[in-house]
Amino acid sequence: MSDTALGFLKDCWLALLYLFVLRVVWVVGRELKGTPVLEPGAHAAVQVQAATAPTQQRKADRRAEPEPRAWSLKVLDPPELRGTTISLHQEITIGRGGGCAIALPNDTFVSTIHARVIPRGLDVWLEDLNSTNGTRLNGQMVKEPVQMKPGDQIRVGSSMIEIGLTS
Amino acid sequence: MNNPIRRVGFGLMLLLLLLVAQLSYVQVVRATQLSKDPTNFRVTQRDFIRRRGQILTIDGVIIAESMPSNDQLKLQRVYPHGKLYAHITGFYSLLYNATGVEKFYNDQLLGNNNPNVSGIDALFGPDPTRNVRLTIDSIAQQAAARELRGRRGSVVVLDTRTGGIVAMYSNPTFDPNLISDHNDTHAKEAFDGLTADPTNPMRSRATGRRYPPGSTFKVVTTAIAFDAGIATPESTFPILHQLNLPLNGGTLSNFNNVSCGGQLKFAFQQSCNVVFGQLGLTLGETLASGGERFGLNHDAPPLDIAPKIDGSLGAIPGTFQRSQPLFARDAIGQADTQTTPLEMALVAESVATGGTMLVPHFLAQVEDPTHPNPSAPQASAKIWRSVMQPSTASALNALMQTVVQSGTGTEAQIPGIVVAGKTGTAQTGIAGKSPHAWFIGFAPAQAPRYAIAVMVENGGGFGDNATGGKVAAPIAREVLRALFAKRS
Amino acid sequence: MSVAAPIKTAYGRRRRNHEFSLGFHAVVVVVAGYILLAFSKNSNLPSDLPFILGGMLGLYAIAHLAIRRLAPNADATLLPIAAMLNGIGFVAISRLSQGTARNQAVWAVVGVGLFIMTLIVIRDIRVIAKYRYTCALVGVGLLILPRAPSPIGVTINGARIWARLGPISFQPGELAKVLLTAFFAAYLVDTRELLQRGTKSIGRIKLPDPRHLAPVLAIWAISMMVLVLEKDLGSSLLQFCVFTSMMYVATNRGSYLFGGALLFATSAYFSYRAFSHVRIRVTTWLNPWPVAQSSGYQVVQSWFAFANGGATGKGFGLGSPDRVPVAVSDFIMAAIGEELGLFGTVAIVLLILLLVGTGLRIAIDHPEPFTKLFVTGLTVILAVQTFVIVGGVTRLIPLTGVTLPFVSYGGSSLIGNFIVLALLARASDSAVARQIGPRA
Repeated sequence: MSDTALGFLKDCWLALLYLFVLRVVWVVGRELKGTPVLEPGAHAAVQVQAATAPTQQRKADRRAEPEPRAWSLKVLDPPELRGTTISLHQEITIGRGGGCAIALPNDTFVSTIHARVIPRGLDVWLEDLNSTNGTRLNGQMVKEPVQMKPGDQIRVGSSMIEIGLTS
Repeated sequence: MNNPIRRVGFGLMLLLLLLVAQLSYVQVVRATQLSKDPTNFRVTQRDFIRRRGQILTIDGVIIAESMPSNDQLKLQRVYPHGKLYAHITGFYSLLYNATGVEKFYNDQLLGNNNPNVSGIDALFGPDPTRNVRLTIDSIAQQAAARELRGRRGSVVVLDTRTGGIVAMYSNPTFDPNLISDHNDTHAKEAFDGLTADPTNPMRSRATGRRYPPGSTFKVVTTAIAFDAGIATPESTFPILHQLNLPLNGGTLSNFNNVSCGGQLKFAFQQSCNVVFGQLGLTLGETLASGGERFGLNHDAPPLDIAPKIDGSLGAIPGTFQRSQPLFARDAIGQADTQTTPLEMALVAESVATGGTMLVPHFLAQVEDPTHPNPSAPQASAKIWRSVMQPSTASALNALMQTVVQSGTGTEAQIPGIVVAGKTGTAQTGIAGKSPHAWFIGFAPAQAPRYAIAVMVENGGGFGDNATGGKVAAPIAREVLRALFAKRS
Repeated sequence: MSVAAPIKTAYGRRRRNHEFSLGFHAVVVVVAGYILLAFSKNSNLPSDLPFILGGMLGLYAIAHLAIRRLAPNADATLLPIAAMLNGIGFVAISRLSQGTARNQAVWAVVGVGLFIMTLIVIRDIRVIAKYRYTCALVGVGLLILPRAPSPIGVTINGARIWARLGPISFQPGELAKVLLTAFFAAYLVDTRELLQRGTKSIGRIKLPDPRHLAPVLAIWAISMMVLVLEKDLGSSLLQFCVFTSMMYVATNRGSYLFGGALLFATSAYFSYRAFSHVRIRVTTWLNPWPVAQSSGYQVVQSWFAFANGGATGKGFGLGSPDRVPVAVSDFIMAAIGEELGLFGTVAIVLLILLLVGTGLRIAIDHPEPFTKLFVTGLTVILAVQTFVIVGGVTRLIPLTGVTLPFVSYGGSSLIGNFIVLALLARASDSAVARQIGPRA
């Protein structure tokens, strides 16, 4: 094949390369404004979001700065700690020990390190840490890590903690 | 944290866009200039990876061609006859570029602007290359190399009808294959060895170096005198043993210190120095202006492939009163008279053609191997300069015949062909160095076909007995005989 | 640690489909480029190279499947861009040296293997923050490793940045910069509020308590010192830029950026005065032509190669990029520039720009500060490294030897890049929750 022909084919190749670049840009563009397509039976959290947050609202959120909304834990019981709120930037532990983020020193039914709450992305998960008396979420015993949604109530020993979103 | 991340992102984007700007600057704005930079290997290499046509002699002998090679350039330039045509083809080297025909007919060999290739052929067809056919005749070239028998010197043969160069050989020579080696180390070794050689084998003695022409220059002096009407073949000069030059310029003596003189035609035949010394003094300023007509001090032969060197004459217009002895010595081709063998071949040619020098050239024809065209016009004769009147030329023709018939040039006789010529034995002016032996001439004298100049440096080892007649004339005879034997 | 299994969402599925489609496109482009190279008359590619190329690209299919399993919501453009860059690099290297291309394929295998390993081991990127001091110590240890006595530390091409283990030589610095970035991110997230506020006042300028800065400055100073001793100017510049931009992102205080620039200017000035090798670099950069046969040879040849390529390039196999020294690694851009032209080189820069954009998008979308900062640092590495080497070979800035991410030949660099890619994928996988997460 002559060099001229090879040069022509190389130009075609460059066009194919730029088509790739354009396609990546297109994918990125869809990501930036993208509305996730929801399917029936998708995760519960997704349905919550789909029901409550129209696209416009979410777009506005994305521009809201400086910090995104964060999960928070609010103590409902015991009464002396009622109203205590902790925002969830990282994993926190709940227990009777002083090192826990939510320390319940007077609740004798609570283990030293009883349970932990793990933000994972914008999901938040609850895990029982082999506590003596177990952890309940909305009354259900937590056997393995479980995902929570706003308004869920965690019972450890005789104390009650509610998970919510602060803005 | 998102705002500073965005700002960092903006900064990074700026950096990368700066790269795009710089890439555009180097690859587009500066590209042309950089691609022409002489230190850019690609300037030579660009042509190296392309196929290249053959260089042929007029009789079809391939003297340069591209052969497949195993290295990355894929093609190796090969010179099948090695040293024989080295000064003509030149070499084609990655390190040292190209010289000779390889350089001056590069576009033709690569097929650049080949009018026969266009459209779809240019896109998918094989690379167009064209062959370059030279006016060189392999028989004459071989004869010249053979007859020089390794002696330093040069032979130039011109076609008096076209100005084409039929043979141009210079000794010592070199093997262009070694310099064209793609291995840089080998090429450099060969090149450095040749440049260090004191005999300078890479410079063609035919075109690239000047020598005193000795008595062959008497052809020029005579032509100027006849043209000016100052002398005729029958003009008579006193018979002298030596000529005392004016202005205490010393004396001028004859070869072997004999006495000579009388009629100019006999003085020419016997190459009598005292007569031509007097003629030089008589001519005076006319010698200087006449020399310029022959191109001396004025204009180099417009050869197509070689660097141009012009001859020199000590006789500069307007200086006669000051330097009369110089004019006398110049008239016999000594002192400051310096010419290349090519120029002396042109002098012989001008007598043969009736007074004109033709533009000397190597190119006969550029041929497209895929579109053979047997009737393609051959390069036609172009007049370079008119140097003497036709009557002067025919008078000189007769004088030069007598030189070969019964004068100093009898060794140049060829049975059945009338040869005209003039010998020369040029003092080098350096003590202990033998004189250069010269012969210029043409044949057949009645209807000239070839003009020739032969120069053997320092007589080729014959010592002070080396004369143009003994050393150079036989070489001319054999080269011409080979050419005529082939033609018949 | 038991963390929940990955959640597969429709969003992630669509990302995976985009990834597959883009990846297929990249494979087509790379294979087509290789075929064009094989057609050119200058190539005598050995018959086993196509299979090696096929194997390399097959590897990306495995990586794609691994992402589907291990990080199903990860960004769609990461892997295809990496495959395209790596593939173009492989074709460019094959054209220059077949033996090197074979090695590069082996390194790509190891790299993709470590990519998958990283995804398996690091299920949650915050785990790294827990091992911040381990990261710092191992990072500095790796930097010092080339200074170790001869059987371990070795000097190659004038820079003592190599370590040898058995038959394999590698540049520990490539891994060290990831570990040091992790340390900086973890430490800066903890102390950023203190650094932001500034507790000590000198006149009207409020400075943070040096105690809070001490550990991070110590590690940073040690790494800079080692790199300067190793004459690895490119890496020290890179480390400097990464550190400064992370300080800025953590604190949102422009004064750190300003201070960094000031520090850079003074240290550049003093190293110019103190070290002859720095002076040579600078004078060569300002005017390489008088030294075109000695210290300026590389960059002059590089310019010639770029210029020869022009806008659209000579075509595969039709240039002479082998005239540029170390064309397979540091000067790979010159080799690409000659045969693929400005369009080819700009495409490479655009792809890296897109990769950088994706990295920063992940950082912005991620809710968690450590990951944000860590991902930002990793992305700055990619971008600044590209700027340093491409700027160097085009004479925009003085030449310092670093590799072009994913494109250049070099095992350590390729492996380091793949680990960074895996970390970005992991971060984007968890960041996607933001897109679909619950709202009150």
